[in-house]
Parts: sequence; structure tokens; C-alpha cells
Amino acid sequence: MRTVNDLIETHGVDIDPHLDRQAAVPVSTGLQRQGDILVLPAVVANRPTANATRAVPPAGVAVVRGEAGGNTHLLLADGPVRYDPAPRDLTLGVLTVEDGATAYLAHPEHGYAGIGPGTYVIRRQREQAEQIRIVAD
Amino acid sequence: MTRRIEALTPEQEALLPVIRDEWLTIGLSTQRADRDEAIRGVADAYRAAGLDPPRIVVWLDSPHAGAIGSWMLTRLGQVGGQVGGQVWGQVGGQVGDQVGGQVGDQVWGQVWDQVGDQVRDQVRDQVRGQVWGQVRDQVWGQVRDQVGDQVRGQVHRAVYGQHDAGWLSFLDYFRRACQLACCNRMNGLNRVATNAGWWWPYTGAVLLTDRPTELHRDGQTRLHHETGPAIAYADGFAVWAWHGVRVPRDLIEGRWSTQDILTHPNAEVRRCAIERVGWDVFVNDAGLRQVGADEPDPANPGHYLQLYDVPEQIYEQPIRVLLCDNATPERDGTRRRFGITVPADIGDPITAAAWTFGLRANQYRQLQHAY
Repeated sequence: MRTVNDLIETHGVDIDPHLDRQAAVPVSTGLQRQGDILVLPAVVANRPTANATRAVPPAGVAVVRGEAGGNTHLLLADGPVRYDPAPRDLTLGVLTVEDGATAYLAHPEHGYAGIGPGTYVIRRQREQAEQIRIVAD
Repeated sequence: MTRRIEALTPEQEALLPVIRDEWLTIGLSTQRADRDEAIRGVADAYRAAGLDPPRIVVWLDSPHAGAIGSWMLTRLGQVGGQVGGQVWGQVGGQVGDQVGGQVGDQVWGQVWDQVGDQVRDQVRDQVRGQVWGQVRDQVWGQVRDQVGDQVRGQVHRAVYGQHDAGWLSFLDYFRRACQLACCNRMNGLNRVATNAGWWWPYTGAVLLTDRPTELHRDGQTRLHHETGPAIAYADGFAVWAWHGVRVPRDLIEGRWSTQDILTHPNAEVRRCAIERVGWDVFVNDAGLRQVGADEPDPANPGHYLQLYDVPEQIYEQPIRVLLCDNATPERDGTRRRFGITVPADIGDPITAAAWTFGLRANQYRQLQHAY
């Protein structure tokens, strides 16, 4: 398992200084969330989901881009990882991590989340306001 | 007659984000006005409208001061030489429509004739769309409402300078990327917009205002500042906003009691005020009724989810609020507890948390990690 420090060195996304840099980042194929972002395995969604096709470049892909860079959740690849943006309702896109590869979601305030092989739907969070709206954290 | 542009070249396409970002910077600028440049722009804009450049130039610090000044200048123009004296007697009627709107409309019409629908839509979506959304909808709209609350009448007679970035960006793209000569008539308006805020053109005189000194937004580009004004001008005119909703100053800079919140007439402002004090505090102070039991937060060990009923009169519709702790600690080591609103027919905290991600309770219980 890689540590936060290790991932910062590899991928260059720094995190808030008060967060633990020595911590190991677990790699999971299960349901995970990072702040207002959900990583939903296709098997948990229990819905047929086609594998993603577009390779995640070394610089990563922002699944949510904060305007001032503040709320950017950046998807990073360690090995062959693909992501297709498909924004609709709560869905942001589809992620496929090949066997032997790992994907990481990086966010300055939340650190790194490790994602193992499989296909996932990336979702964002909503709340009930005058109309249903997307959460602004 | 030149051929209509039916598709953009790769070079022209590459300029779409460049010109968009330049106009976003202009529209959101908090730099001091470059007064000489702005005045040169005014002269160009008057000439483009077939008018003589104004001889009298007045600078004020904010759109609010500008609206008051413009009202006074209009009165002065009406009484004319009698009390105006030699200088002010020369001020004639307002020519904002000619200098701003009419030239723009004419150029717009010419662009229509030279550009195919597809290209027009592409530039509208990729250049004007974001600039319009961020500058016009988010910033100009709030400033207009705030000025309008205090000084009606002159607001709609202004040319909006930097806040016209939305439609100016559209025509500027065709000038720079497609070399449409008709768009050169916009140079004056562009130059003022690049160097100043709102302005009021008169025959013989112009009243210009400076840009804001501060501008704060949230991650979704809405005006937002938690401790002070979201937009402030040098003379103290300011707009306080909470995630894009204009709110009273003391909601941001003071501390509203639960009673203050519950008795405020506007539901949207009440919602902002609750978010400002924090749902966890409000739930206690307002004595809201808990729904269901405390539930352990999956993947957030030692932390609990709670659901509370929010009566209809608070939100103007019945809702419930889910209280949860951030999975990641704050700088001081504490966990921020926050509320997230959910539909009123949800009966337990796990179902509520699941709903926020479009899941069922049994799916959300499988959560393995939260960060």
C-alpha cells in the first residue's frame, strides 16, 4: 500500500498540511466517497455499465473542477485507467480500472482515495432546496 | 460580399478558450481603472455612434455613486444653463442607448449576415456562455439589484463596462479570430470595458465609475463571502452574498439569533442564515424534532448521523435535514458537523444519506471508505 507522501511525490497533488502524510492509502473495489463525490462500483449499482474508453492522461482528469481550484477532485492513473465523462443528473462519468492498475482520486482537503480494478460510476451529491441542487462544499 | 463563415479552422477554434478567459478576467477584474485608456475608449465609442466625444469627464467610485451622479447630471441637463453655468450648461441628454445598445445591435446584425448558424452557436456556447453566466448573471445581476434597491431610475441607462463582458466577448471573438471588420466598431466599448466599470454617456459629458476593489465567489462561481462583502467598491458600496443569494450585511458580519432567522420574511435568506450559523447549532436552538434514532455513519467510525424535521414555515416547504460529520479532520483536529437537506418523506438517517447520492439504504450501508 502506498502512503500519501508517496502519492504526492508521484502525482504532484499536494494536500492540506494538517492531514497525515504518512498514512497508507487503502485501495478498494467497494463503495467509497470523497467529500461530495461517490465512487459507485457497477456491481453495487447493479446496473449494466459499459467500460470506459478514454485513457486518463498523466496529468489526470478533473471529475469536478473547482473554479479557483478549490474543489477539484482529480482522477489519477497508476497503470491503465480509463474515464469517460457522462454528466447526467448525479452521474459525472464512468471509470474503468484495468487489472493490475490503480486509480486515485485526489483532493487537497480530503487527501487520496485508492480505487482497485473494476468499473465504477462517479456521482456527485445532491440536497433538497427550493429545487434539488448539487452540494456546494 | 464575402463568403459566410460556416466552420471554424483549428486555429480559430484554439482561440475560443483564450478569448473566453480574457473576457472572464476583464469582467471579474478588481484592478483600479486605467482612466486614460477608458477615456480614449469613450471617445472611440462616441465616434462609432456618430457623436462628438464628450468634453466633460467625471469619475466616481462605484455603480451606486454613478447612479446618483447620473441622476444629478440628468437634472443639470434639464435645467441647462440657468444654474449650470458655462461648464455644466453644455451637458445634454443621455446617449447611452446610442453609444452602447445601438452600435452593438448594428454590429451584431452584421455579424449574423457573415456567420453561419453553427459557428454562431459554437462561439455563443464556448465564449459567450461562460462569460455571460459568470459576469452577467452572477455579478452584474446582484450589483444591479443592490443599486436598484437604493437608487432606481438610472440603473438601466448605464453602459455596464466590464459587466458587459458577456456580449462583448462574443463580438470580440469574431473580430480577432475571424477578422470581421464590422466588429472594429466595438473597439471603443471594448476599451472602456477593459479599463472601467459602469458608465453613463451624455451629450458633452460622460460619467465613468471604477471597478470593485474586492470580489469573492464560491466554487460554483456564485458570489459568496463568509466574513465580509462579496463585492466591495472603494466608496464603501458593497453587496453581501451567500452562495449567490444577496443577503443583509448583518447576516454575514453580525450574528443572527434563531429568532432573527425564523422571523425573516424571505425564505431564501432564512436558508442562507441557517447555513451561516450551521445546521447543527440551528437544530438545537430552534428545538427541531429528531426523526428516527442516531445511526452510526458507515465508514466514519465513532460518528453518527441524525435526521431532523424542518417545519414548513422555515423553508416554505416541508423538508428534513441530515446532520453528519466530515470524514476528514479540520486544521484544528475537530470534525466539521454539517447539515444536508433531504425530502420530508425520508424516515431515517441512512436512507437520507443514501438519497443524497441517489442510492438505497442497503447500498449506502456498504460504504467502505469515506474521506
